Amino acid sequence: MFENINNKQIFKYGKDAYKKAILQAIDCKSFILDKDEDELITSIDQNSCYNCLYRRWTQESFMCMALNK
Amino acid sequence: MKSFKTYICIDDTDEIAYEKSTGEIAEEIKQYIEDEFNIACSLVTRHQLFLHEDIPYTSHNSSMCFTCSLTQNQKEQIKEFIIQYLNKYSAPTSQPGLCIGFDKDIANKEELINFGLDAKEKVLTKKHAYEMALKQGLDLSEHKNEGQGVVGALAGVALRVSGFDGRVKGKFETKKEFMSVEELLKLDFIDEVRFKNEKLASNDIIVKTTQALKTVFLEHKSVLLIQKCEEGYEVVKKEDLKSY
Repeated sequence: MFENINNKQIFKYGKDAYKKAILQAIDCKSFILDKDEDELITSIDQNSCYNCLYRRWTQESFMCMALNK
Repeated sequence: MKSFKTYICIDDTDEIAYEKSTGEIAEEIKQYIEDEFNIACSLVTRHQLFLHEDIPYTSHNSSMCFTCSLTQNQKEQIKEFIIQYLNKYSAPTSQPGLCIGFDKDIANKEELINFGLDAKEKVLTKKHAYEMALKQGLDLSEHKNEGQGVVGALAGVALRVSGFDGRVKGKFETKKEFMSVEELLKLDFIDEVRFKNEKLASNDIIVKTTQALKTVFLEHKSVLLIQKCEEGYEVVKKEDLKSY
């Protein structure tokens, strides 16, 4: 679900692929839910890459900082 | 001593996976002002800034702003408190910026607002931010590392001044499944209820309120947006508020 762009792991599906972001988070050992409720993108199904503390938004998608460690 | 409308905005106080977000710190500062000075503060607004690899934000590049009414003395005391608080509670690698100032001192609101709007679309420099702050009579300061947070801190004030940007921090849940617009307007944090096209909703409209209520900042008001659904009307989902 990620592609390497300039040594950064970028989510391939952008900011509106809610189901894919949830699927990716399911098996992710690094997933941590962002504690700041205001920064959660979804109101239900919160275990999603979009709501992870390690996601760093870009203009079109997000970068996974856990994979970039 | 006379009190004046005061803007307080902070940015860039966290690092990846840090225990405390900028939003939490803003709320804690607000709570301190309310508790220690017995001064009511406004709701906190969250302002989305430009996402670009040249900007060293942690996760979402947003600044947090609120207002209150302070005397000159109080403003200075609170500024000192905030500086100490940021030094203590911001993440070690963060670059906190603080902007504080009186509304009455802003020299050119249109120019300031344009700075804020630019910060949503372009990479701006610290130099530009300091020059603009000086010109506009606003106090801008950096508190750790490279201090890049000053750009967001000033931009947050600028966007708050515009009255047409941001989401209100916090969510509010009601136990009721449906509420009329009239009932919703009685809640403290809701100034208006509007449709997605931003037209006002009339008091008799019934809204499904099973989702948490989140408002956006429009015309200097905390506005709940609603949209049509199968059962009539519902609050606009969080997913659909991303652009605010």
